[in-house]
Amino acid sequence: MSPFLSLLPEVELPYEKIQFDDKVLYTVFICLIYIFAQLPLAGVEKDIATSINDPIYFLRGAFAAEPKTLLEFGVFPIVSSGLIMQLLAGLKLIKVNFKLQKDRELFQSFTKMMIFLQYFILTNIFIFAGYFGTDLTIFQILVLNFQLVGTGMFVTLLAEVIDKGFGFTSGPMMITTINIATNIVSDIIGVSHVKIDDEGNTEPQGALVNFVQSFRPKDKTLFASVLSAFNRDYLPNMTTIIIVTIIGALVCYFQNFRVELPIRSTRARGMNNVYPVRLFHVASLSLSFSYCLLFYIHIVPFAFITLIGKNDPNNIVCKILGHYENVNNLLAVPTFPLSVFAPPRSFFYGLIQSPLSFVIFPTFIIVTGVWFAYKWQAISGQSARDIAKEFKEQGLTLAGRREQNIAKELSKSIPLASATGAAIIALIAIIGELLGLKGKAASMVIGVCGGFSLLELVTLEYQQAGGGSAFSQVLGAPTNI
Amino acid sequence: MSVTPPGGQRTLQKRRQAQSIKEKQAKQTPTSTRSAGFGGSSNSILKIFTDEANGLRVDPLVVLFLAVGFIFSVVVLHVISKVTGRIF
Repeated sequence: MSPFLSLLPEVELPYEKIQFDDKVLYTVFICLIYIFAQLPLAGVEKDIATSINDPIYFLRGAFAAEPKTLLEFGVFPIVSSGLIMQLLAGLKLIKVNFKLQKDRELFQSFTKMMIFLQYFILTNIFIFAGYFGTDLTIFQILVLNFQLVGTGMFVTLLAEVIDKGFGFTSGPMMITTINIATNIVSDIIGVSHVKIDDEGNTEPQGALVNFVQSFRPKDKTLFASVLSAFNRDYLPNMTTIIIVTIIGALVCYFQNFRVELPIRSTRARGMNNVYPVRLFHVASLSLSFSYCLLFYIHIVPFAFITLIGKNDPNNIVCKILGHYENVNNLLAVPTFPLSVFAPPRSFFYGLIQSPLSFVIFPTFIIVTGVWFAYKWQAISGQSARDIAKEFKEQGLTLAGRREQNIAKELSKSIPLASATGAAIIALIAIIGELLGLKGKAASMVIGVCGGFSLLELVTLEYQQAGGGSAFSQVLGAPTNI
Repeated sequence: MSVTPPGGQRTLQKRRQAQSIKEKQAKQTPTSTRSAGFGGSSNSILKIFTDEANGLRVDPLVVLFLAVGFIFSVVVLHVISKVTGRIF
């Protein structure tokens, strides 16, 4: 493995601490580059007859992936390898001694190799499944590999630049959050017109814009056109937008839930404060983890069904694993055994067609989410014992407790908060998904929740930067925070 | 209820136990980069890259420019396929 390691690109650590303004610039530019990468793939014809459509349509939102563009897989390989490798190391399933510089470097390089490898494997599964067209020439396959794997590498490096301290906190989360935010805006007020049928009729992408325009219908009656603004299923409609907004509001509401433990200083008298333990202690990571698992659950059978079974219902593989059905010429919807792990496309249709997915899909998301949250809070370096250690170093203690008992006291609330929070997050996402949002609910929850955790650290840094930030002077923000 | 007098076997055993627990804790390796004290993922943040490993060192600005260059190369591919009128 070591000969490969010297070839892996590695972003340099900053020599000195990067200024707040520079961080803003780096973060904004990286996210802009990511959004610019939503470029259609070259070498793929638009209206070509593909043998298979988009099989992971409901997982795209959570990983900032856009179908048939350079960002076919978004940040999925980064998030999944990051979470899974760190979980494995934390549970001591792979032996890493994080105290040693050498081990940390090796672990990091290995994670990066896994990311690149996943981009490569996913690309080729999709190519040979016929997702980009049926008979591709060898040159087309090479060009597609170049584009998708290349984008994967660059996205990884961009995330690394943010991670290493040039941008704010976490690269993959920053990219996902900003991408989700832009998607929501374009879903609501996007003005670009999209062709919707063969006759060349167009409709605006944004649901709100479409709703307003529907009062001046061109080719339909007024009633039909307003109704279509609420239930069109090829583009965002008003109903989904309203549900998504409610979900966002719910997450914001629960975000404020916390237990406040009274703390006081051991060094000075009268220094009383509170230490908040949030209900969303693990925030969006638990849902991200559930969606990573869901992605694997879908991509492995997808590879078998399309590569070996050729998506032919009579094939033996497809008789066991089910096959994919073409819907709207956009989506590939899995049938029975796999469909129980996918959210229904609409509430009533799903209730009749596959009632089992109303049981197994939510159970899966909740169980994996809670399990992850419970394990993650213990291993991520913010567990009760770690916080107790931090308190000791800073000369703090819980009011009315002996110093030896801090960890015990904290461990009463932190694991409980993590697990409950994860269950609530999963529930909010599931309610939206079962109503037929096709991944929009999960992406909204991940976006809002991740946004809050990022914002918390960004404001902290802003306060530490003080009035030195040129941005705060230009924008007229109060400098004496 | 009889009170056991101090000292003797039991105290020795307790001491041994305490000692072994302490040793065990000292031997335990941290579970993540953050708990080892080097930053990294926290409870609500996923961070993967914290150390500068051996490899092809690149400057962050170079990464940014190369990424833009990469996107332009894809644009060029589009143009080529448009001009030649076929997909390669």
